Amino acid sequence: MLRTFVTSALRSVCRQSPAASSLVPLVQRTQRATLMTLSRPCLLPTPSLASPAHHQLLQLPGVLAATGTPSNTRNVTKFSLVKGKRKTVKAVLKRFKRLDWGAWIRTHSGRQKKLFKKSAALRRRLKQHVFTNATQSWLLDKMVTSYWRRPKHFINDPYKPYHSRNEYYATQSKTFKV
Amino acid sequence: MAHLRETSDKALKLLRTLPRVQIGNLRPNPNSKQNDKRGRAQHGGDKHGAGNKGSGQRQNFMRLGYETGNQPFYLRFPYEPYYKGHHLKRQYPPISLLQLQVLIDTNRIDISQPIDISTLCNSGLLKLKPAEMEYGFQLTDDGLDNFQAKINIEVQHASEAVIAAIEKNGGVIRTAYYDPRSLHMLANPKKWFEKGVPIPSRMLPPQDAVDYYTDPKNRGYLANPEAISQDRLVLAQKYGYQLPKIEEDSAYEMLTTAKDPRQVFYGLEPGWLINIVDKTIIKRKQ
Repeated sequence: MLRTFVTSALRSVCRQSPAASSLVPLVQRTQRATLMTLSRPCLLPTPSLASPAHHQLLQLPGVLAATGTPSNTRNVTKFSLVKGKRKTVKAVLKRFKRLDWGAWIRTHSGRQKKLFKKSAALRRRLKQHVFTNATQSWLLDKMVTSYWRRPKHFINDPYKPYHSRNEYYATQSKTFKV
Repeated sequence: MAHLRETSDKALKLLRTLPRVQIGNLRPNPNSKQNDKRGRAQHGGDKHGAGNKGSGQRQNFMRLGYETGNQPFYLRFPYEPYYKGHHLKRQYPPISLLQLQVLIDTNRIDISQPIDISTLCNSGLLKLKPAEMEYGFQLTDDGLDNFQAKINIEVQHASEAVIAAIEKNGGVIRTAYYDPRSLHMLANPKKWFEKGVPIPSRMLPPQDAVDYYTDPKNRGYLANPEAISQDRLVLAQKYGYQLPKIEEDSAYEMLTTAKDPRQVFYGLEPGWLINIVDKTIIKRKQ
């Protein structure tokens, strides 16, 4: 927690004062030393550890907040700072894949563990992918941006046969418009 | 019985003096009157509905996927590289042969001219978005049995069955690569010409696409024309149809029209400047 305060304080210092841009390398170089210093039981730097770099660091206005009053920090980002758009949860893209008719597929947990104890039929099932249900598909759709919900038309896509589900009325492919 | 008669007469006399039952003299329904003030203390005045602890008290907005104590659903499963390298792959929106046949039958595509991306985009029903890594159209084999049109078409990807279906009807097919700038020009030529910029050269394909476009089996635009003629016969024998002789066809001139590997538009060369207002073409001095 204390590391988070120091990091956010240093980041706010680098952002707030462009005139102190010459001090940014100094701040980055002493950031590790400061963290090591502040991780000790004593919150204030002891006189024996005094050095010119630390003195310059303490002159910066934002760093005093790290040793005194902790500054606020936000860990959950709903909208990005640069474009003001929703952000994609990267953990979803690492574990799931969206099919074009709305479902997401994932793999089984523990599919590569303790295989010697498992039967051949179970081992075969562990190699397969699993669909998500409607609630989970809705949740995963909300957690990604529209780029990932868009159909992709790659050449030699191994998931090409599974992107259509024409035997169900709600996901039947529409006739092209001419 | 006489006293009963007296009682009923008395009741009727009383009822005649009472006013008529109407909306103006009825008591309101229980709890229908809303108090315009909030209750005091424990009657809704202590916490105003926000509870004691948690996200209600602190007016938080729980993020998507958070399951208050459980391991969230989207974090339970192991990694799988589903989307590995997706940002480097080229996309080819599909057109089926059935769709192409219907476009031809409804006269949205003129088959007396060669067909390329511009022709398909100018029909108004097909869109190409080069900004989304779409590098042209791929022709798919839906409606392959009903295809009967003699066309000279240029697409970016086609399977062997599609090539056979087009050549069986006496047509010609080429697969060609366009760089993103050329794709922007072909998707909307009017917009490009209005910029007043000369037509640039088309770029060569990247390394992972050279093999495809130099292969005569794919009818690549960089392949040897003699090898393509040879492969037309081989494909006709493989699929068992009689290859029509396009040399004796009246549309031979149209069927053998092909772009130079550096050319973007039919009939227009790189370096030419198209003036839409004056309807002129400004060429370089020889």
